[in-house]
Amino acid sequence: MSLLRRPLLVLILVVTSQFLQLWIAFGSVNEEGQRQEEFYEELLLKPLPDRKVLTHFHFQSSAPLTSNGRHHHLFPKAISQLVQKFRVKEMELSFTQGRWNYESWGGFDSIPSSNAKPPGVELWAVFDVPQYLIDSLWKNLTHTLSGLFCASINFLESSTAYSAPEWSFPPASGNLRYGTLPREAVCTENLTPWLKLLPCRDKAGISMLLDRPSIYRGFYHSQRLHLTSTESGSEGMDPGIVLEQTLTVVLQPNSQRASLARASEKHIQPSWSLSSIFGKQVSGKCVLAETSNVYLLLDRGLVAELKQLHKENGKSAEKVLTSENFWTNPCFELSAKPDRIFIEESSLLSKNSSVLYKFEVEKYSEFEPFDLGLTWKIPVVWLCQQAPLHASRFLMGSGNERGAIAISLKSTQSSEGFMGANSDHERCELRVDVFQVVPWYVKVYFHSLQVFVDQQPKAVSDIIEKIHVSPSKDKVSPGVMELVLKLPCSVSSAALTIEFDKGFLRIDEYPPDANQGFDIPSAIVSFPNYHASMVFLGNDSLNKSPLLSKFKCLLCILDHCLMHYEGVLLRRRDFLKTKPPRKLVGYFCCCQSCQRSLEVRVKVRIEMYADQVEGAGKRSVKERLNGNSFHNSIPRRQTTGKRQRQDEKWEHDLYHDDVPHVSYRTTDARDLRLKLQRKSLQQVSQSGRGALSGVRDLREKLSGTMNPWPVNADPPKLKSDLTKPTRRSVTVETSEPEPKKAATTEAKKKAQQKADASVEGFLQSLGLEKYAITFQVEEVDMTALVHMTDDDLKALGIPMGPRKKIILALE
Amino acid sequence: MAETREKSHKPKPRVRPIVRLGIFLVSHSFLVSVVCCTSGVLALFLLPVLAKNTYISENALMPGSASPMLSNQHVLDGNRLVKDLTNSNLKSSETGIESHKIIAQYMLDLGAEVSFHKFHPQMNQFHPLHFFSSPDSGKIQENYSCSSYGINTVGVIRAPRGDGKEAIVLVTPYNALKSGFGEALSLGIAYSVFSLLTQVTWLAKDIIWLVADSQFGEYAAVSAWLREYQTPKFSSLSTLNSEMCPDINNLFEIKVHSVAGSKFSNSFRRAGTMAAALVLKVRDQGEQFEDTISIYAEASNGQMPNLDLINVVNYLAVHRQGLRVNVEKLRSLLNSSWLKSLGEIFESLAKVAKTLNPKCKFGIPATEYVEGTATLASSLYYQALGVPTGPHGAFRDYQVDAITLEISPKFSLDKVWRNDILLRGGRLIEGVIRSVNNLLEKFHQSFFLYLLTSPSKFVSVGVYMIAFALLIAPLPMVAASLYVDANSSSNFLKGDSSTPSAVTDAAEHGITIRSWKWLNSAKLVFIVHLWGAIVSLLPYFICQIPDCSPTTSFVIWVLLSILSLLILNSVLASPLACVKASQEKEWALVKSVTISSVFIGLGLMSVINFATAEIGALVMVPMCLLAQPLKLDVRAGTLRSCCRIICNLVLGHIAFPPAAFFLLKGMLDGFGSANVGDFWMWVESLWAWNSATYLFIGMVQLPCWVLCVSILFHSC
Repeated sequence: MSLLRRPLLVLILVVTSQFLQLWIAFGSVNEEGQRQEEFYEELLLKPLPDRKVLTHFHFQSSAPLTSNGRHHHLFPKAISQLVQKFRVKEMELSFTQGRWNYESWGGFDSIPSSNAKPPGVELWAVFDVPQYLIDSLWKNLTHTLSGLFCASINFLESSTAYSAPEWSFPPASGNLRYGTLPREAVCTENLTPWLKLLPCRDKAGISMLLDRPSIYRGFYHSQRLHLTSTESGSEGMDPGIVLEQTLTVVLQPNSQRASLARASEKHIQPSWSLSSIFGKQVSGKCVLAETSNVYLLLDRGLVAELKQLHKENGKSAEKVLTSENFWTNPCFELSAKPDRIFIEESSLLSKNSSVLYKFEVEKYSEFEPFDLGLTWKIPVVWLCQQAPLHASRFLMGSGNERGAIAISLKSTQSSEGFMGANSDHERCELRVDVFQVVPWYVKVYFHSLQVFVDQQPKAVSDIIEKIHVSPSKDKVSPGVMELVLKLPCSVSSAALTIEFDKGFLRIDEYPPDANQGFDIPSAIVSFPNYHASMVFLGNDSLNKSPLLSKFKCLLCILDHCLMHYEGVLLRRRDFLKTKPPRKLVGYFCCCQSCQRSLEVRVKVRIEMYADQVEGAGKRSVKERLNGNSFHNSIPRRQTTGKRQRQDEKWEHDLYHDDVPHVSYRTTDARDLRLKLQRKSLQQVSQSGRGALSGVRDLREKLSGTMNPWPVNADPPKLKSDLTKPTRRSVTVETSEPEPKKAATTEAKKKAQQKADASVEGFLQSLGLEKYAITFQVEEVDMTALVHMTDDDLKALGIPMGPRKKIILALE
Repeated sequence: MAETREKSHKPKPRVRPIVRLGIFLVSHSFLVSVVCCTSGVLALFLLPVLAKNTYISENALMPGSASPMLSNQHVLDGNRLVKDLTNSNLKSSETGIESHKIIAQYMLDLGAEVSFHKFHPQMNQFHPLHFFSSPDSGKIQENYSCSSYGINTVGVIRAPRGDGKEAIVLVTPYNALKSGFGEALSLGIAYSVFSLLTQVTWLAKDIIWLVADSQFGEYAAVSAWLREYQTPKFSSLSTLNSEMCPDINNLFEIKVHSVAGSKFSNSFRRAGTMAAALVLKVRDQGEQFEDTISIYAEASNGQMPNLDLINVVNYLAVHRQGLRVNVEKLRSLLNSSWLKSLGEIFESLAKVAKTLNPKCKFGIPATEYVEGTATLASSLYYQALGVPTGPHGAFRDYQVDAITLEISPKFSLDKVWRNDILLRGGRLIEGVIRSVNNLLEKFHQSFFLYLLTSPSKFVSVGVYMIAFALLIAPLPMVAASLYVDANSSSNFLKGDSSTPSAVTDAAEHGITIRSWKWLNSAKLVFIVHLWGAIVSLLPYFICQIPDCSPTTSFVIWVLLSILSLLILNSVLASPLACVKASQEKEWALVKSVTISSVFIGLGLMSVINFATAEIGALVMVPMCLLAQPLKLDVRAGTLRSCCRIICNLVLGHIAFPPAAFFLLKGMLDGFGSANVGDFWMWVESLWAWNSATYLFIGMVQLPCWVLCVSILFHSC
């Protein structure tokens, strides 16, 4: 019997697997015409001149915007819901600890420019809604993000904490809001939710390297989340959401202290490997990723130095450059053979080109883990490429209540090369954008702006081409200053100073640790005319990598900006917070030595904004599946299960008490899924027929349950609300008192009859449906609306006329 | 309503208790003033007894909680630097550039950021309006010669994960031209700490190591660097000039074959707010019996760093490194027998008190009392002088807590000993830096206003204010009683035998006269104070005269002062002569107004610089209170008036500022070396340091003295 039974089992298995493959083939064919969700994972390693190693993790997942309704295969649901709910067009959130060292780690390529961030939390977002709604959306967004990332981002809700830059911020638009929390302590609490957004978490693929102790031991780490959503109809881009998650860590490889003593070995760079800096190795790729690559970048300075060394050794420089022998050269040794070597197209700006080694993680497995190591053989000294100007900011003056903020720009030696390329010395101008936010309690006298170029005072109008200032309002909003400077290219140093007074703080406005001081947010200094780009020679396979496409930004629409972030801390003494009164310290301090001190803390950051280029490569599901070895699927199944649960949790957070989604919420997502699972067999056959309608969830395919996507019945309501107001806004303005009265009596009845009637319907009856979104954003339902006063409505930003109408109708 | 008014009019108007108390005190002003003054002086002498033990107030400091990480390896590194520096001194002593290069190279090898700061020694000049103003960026002086440069070498370690908002400064003064072994050793200690700090992971604040070029004085170098740090000039010609000096530019051609090649630049390096600063010095010859570390804390105008900083140093030095901590004390007081006997009296009193109540234990041994008094006296003296006692004073001008630590070792030039002092000094500095590094907030928990009676004992402001308050309390009462006296006597003279209606008439008339009289004496006092202001401004013009020796300047100053007094006297009034014969009590009114002006002056000064006010009060209060025309006393001829005459004459001499100076100088240094020009030099140093004491002497004490003398020689 058993003998009989076994072949039968095998037969069944064979048949089902055939069937499965057939079905997968169907799926992949069907997906050809349609964009699908994609995930890329990459890691860039770069030796730094000061014995450190830069590691830059780059994960990118993208999803079409609405084709699948609310459900996604790979893309984190929380993020897509966030985009839909808050109409986020573009958003960036970064958590940073430590300072980016511009002098030794470079300031001119794309990694520092987009990943060097100010310490603490920085958040900016562009919204796709009319101006008057942005603030309320921003406030809700901050709360959502603070829940998502276990951080106090909700403190950015207060209008004193964020600002609205007009044009100096690179994705320039009026719909931008920008806020920073310089004091936020960044820890592993923030990393965990960030990792949960990845399809493989840190369980498989490159993200396995993310060993918390070694990351937080690093000299600098910045965890960033960049989100771009493209509406259909925008130029050339497919509608969809692109989520970029990057983690930049600067680590120092453990070097033996004993070797330091000997002078000969003193200058040799420390050798490192992935396992030595992270304590872990990569065992294969994340199966859900389209590509999974590790890159090793040698920057221009290093390559030039290596060539020089070769010449000294009597070998021809050309020979070095050929991709075959570069990885086995006398200067250093790589432990793994690179799959490909790219050499940067020598650009106009500099003669030297950087070299990039590519390693495909795909080829490695658990039994043969990937562990890239770099062993230096001879001492090499090089310099990283610097930004044209080195910026620093500090506070001047001390002791008394007055002072000045100074931003000083010093030319770096390397910039001469760039200047030379421009050659037109008479008209050559260097454009510098400065963006500075000051808290309201720092009263800046904008008229006292002084500019010094090469230690000579200059008229402000000569240097400043464009200036935008929005003065701070006490206890309401911070002051914002945006400047465009045009400096001559031959400038060696420049400085800006602005004087300020310290505002008066009431005792209850002091934080409990007032003696720690107050932070002035970072300034952003950018050089929009400088392109921080690398174009690599190579075939199309490079295009698949979203990380490398970042390097090609010379071709992009927007110029690259180098940004300097500087943070300054302002301090004052709190006299009122005293120790036991017998000490009398407070009173006499102020008398004797005017100890209300004002001190500076300076830090510098550079930021460069690269534009996004969609990863062009697409691989079908089938390809991906076939490319995977069997053992990878086991951990994956576990992780996907976890992630689904997580999604549901997020969903609850997001749609908590939200009226428009009540109907959706009543049928719990879990119930829906259970139902769907029960029906799975029928659904399979259905989907087999109507395969055109839905794309299969890769995870589900892999885990064996074959659930098709539920056809999403309710279209996104927010969207429809948004399109309406433009049409009906006229009627609001012209409506006369008589019909209004009639309408109000009607509405009154309605409101009394059924208190649970929707706000939307109520507003519709008044012809005010364009404000529905406002109420929706503030989560006002009918019961709440009844209790709302005139002031409440005013706070919502509803104009006088409609406000009166609503109040009349409610009465 | 009318009735109630009548009622309230009829019985004696009820005076509130506080007014009655005031009237009582004023009427017994003599007794009150005697009691208050003696108790004030007594309280001052009681301060060493009342001093409390210091304690670490800020919890975050946690001194000594971590075991020191400074190992022998770091000490060897430091020793290497000391050797190199002493060798290079032998080689090329004509320029100090070599040693600066060596220091910079050592810093670079550690991976620190290095920069040089060139500065011109800024002559301290008298700016009449610059008292109390925040330090400015100074004048641009054009014609500097290349030889008059100082070069500070600055190394900065960035905290690995810090946000760079705060920094701790370590200063080692170093004169490259003629450096003693002590200076090299201090550099060695700093270097060993610095090399440790480049490796540690616990650093939260940046570390700045400033090797201050002390060829123009330690203070000048540090203050020049601080000026550049805090209030840089963006438009300057001097830096352009400096580029032309070949010597200086040589310096920047340091070979960058170091690994951290990019870390050297000739731009000025900054590192955020300074949390604290330590100035480290090693004395060349140690004559102590054990390794001692002296703490200097007084900055300009008697400002002190937070007591916690001193506490941390004291705690670590005594309990961790076994060094003896020393605070400056007046040596001459140590051997004085009267102080010893006073201490014994206090000690026996304490014993008596203990027998009565075993719980009370305020007594201290007599020797301890003498030491405490000597320390307290020096603490008062240096605070009163208003001149910083070291380079740390420059930091205090920018509200940075700073102290100078001077290590004086017991042996000298012994190899083993040298390593030992490097290790212990280094561990002490490391411990202090680590404590300050722990701070989240700036120093604010402990006291800023205190007097030290020993490194571990202090008198807080709440205690020492009592002595001063007692001392000046009788002033307003005596002034009031004199005023009342003068008025009542004139009343008495006029309205003696008149009818009640005439009395009121005369009273009204008297009121007008009285107010006029009061104004007359007020005018006199005002003129004398105006003269005081002119006298204190005169040095500004005198120091413009080229080639003037201190003695001649002083003579010119005295002559001009007398001249201006005569001119003012003749132009504005002839106040010293009695205007009317009827006003016998003219001097009493003058005295009353003088006393009130002194009271105001002392009150103001106690807020600006307590110690000056305290010492000033000790001299001026008795003088003001005792001042009475000599004629009257001579006429009276009693024993009491004789005593008063003697007291007045003695005080009249002592209270004259130059006389007081020479007396003090003679007491401290011996009378042989006294010179007239010394006073001018002393005054010069006072205004150079923007000391408020100078203003006090010029505008409060000198006028007061003149007025008192005028009262003494009053012709009535």
